[in-house]
Amino acid sequence: MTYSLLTIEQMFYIMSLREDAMSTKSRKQLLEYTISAIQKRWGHQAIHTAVEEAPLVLSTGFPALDRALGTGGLPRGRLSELIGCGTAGQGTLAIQAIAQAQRVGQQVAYVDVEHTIDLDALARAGVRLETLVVLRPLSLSHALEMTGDLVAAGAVGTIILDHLHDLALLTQSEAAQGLDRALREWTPQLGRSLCTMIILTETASPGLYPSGLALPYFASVRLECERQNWLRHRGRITGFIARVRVLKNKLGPSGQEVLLKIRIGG
Amino acid sequence: MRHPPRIACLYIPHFVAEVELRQSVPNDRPLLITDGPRVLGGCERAAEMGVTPGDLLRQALARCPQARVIQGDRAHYQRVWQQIVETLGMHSPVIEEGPWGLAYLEAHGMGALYGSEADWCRAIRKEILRETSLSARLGVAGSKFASMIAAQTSPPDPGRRIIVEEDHAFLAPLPTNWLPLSVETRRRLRLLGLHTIGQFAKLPANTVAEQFGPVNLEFHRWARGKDERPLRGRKCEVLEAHAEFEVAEAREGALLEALLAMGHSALQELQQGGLAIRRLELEARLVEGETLQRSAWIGATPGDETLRLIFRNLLHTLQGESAGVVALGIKFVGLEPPSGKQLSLFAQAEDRTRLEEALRRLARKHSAECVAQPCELRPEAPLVAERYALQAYRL
Repeated sequence: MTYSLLTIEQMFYIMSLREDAMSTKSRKQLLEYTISAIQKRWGHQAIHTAVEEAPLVLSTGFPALDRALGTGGLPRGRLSELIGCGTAGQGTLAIQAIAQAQRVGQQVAYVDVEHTIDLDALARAGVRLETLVVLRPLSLSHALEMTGDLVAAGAVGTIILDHLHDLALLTQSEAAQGLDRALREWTPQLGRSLCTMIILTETASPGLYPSGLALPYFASVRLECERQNWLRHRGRITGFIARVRVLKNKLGPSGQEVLLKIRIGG
Repeated sequence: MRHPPRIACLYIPHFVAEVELRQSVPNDRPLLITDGPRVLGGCERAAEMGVTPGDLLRQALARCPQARVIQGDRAHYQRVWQQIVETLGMHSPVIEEGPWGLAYLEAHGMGALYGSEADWCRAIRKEILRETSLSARLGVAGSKFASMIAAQTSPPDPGRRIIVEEDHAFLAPLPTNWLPLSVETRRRLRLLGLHTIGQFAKLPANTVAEQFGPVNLEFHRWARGKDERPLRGRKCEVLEAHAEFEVAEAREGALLEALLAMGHSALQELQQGGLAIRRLELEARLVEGETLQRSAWIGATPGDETLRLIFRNLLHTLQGESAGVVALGIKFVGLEPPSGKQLSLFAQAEDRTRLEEALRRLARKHSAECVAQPCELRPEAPLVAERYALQAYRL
């Protein structure tokens, strides 16, 4: 009997009819033919076999946080979100991630949505500025378009989108919809190119996050940063303690909290 | 101290049939691929029915009458195989190509580079699957023979591979059929009650020579896990450039400029291919008719200044030899994928090229000012704003 000319629906129908009568071998064959038919119709990338493999990750540069994430860092090929209000450490986390990405030979692009990139902080964190690509869009929608082009090219190992402002997204429904559409497009493309995307979201006040945004659903890892105490030396502020909470983690445990010591100005 | 060899074998069973099957309509009949009157390859089921590559088609059809026969395309299979070999070149410094579907790779140090030998195998397998949709089997051992058996006996499940630590212990329980012995030798081994490679390995070498002939001594060594055949890497590529002068040229400056022009164009080609140079050869045809050759060893792809220095040194050695040069030629020899330590650099060069292409497209589509690059102004300046700045990306 030849199954090659049957459609997928017909194959499932035959499977349901002959479920009891079929031997394990013929079921396996039928499954193989079905997979071939799906691959033929939708391409080889449409169907995969599950293989037990350690997830590919990008270290955050903070060993305590890497341990808290359970996988050793932020996942490659997926989207991560760093949330924080003002000076809370999310920018430092992103900068450290850039340095780590460059250390393992990745190309990094920095989408500077609000034109507030701190080159000095980048240089101090050990980022090789000469190989860093900075995109300076004119608006948020322009930033999404440029980032989309870069993601589609699959040429970058890490992309930092700095930053989205929750109030801006709430007040500009068009921008929020654009972000929703973009995230839908980017997610499969990131998976194919193994590109790590880190989106920095700045909230108006700590612990608040606007409802109705698509970003929390698409992000595989969401980290919330909150400033705890200032660090002082001889009366001068030299840094702060940031509490980083794992809000969501698709590849490991969530709900973990770590305290990170973040220095300001070297 | 010489390190113990580690060799990996990549094996894609029924390569030709697998290449065909990944594109053709699924069919439950066995597949035979022909090349003229003979069989070029067949699928697993055809092989189970006794069809082997090289059989006459009518013989093959007698053994496998229900087979579906298609005409093979050697050029296409060669292209797919080259694609696989190029992929392997990204993961190992030495690749020895066997027939289609079989290759040996240098595995020493790869465990340290990738985390473990298993991770290395997984990376290779994954990349081949992504590039060609073909499922490869991998085995790593201390010799070519053991690694080949490890690859062939490794289960076809995705992500599985065999890593052999002690060759002789791995080979010992396997049947002697794995050894390329003659039919007569196998018959005599059976009569003597020697069924496994381990039993054959335990025989003293002089007994093997006496009983089965000295030709089997080498297979006896393989059985003991002492296959000393080295890996033969791919032949080095050579990139050449030539220039001729209408009038014999004796000025060092002019010769140097001619060499640099040739060198730059050749280097651009090299960088696009992400290849490394090992030696630079200079050939000068003199006005007297004589040809002089000079060469210099190079550790890595040279920059402009290094290239100028090398050419100047080579030209100095030609001085006083002749009244003029009528033709110059340079050769970049030993273009191989960079050695183990340079693998990440090699990958970076490709990534960088792709990134630059993407950025060019971005600059065209949006605006050149939107794609920027940080530059250093005065890193020690007291004012932060004076330390670094952004400039348009140089494309």
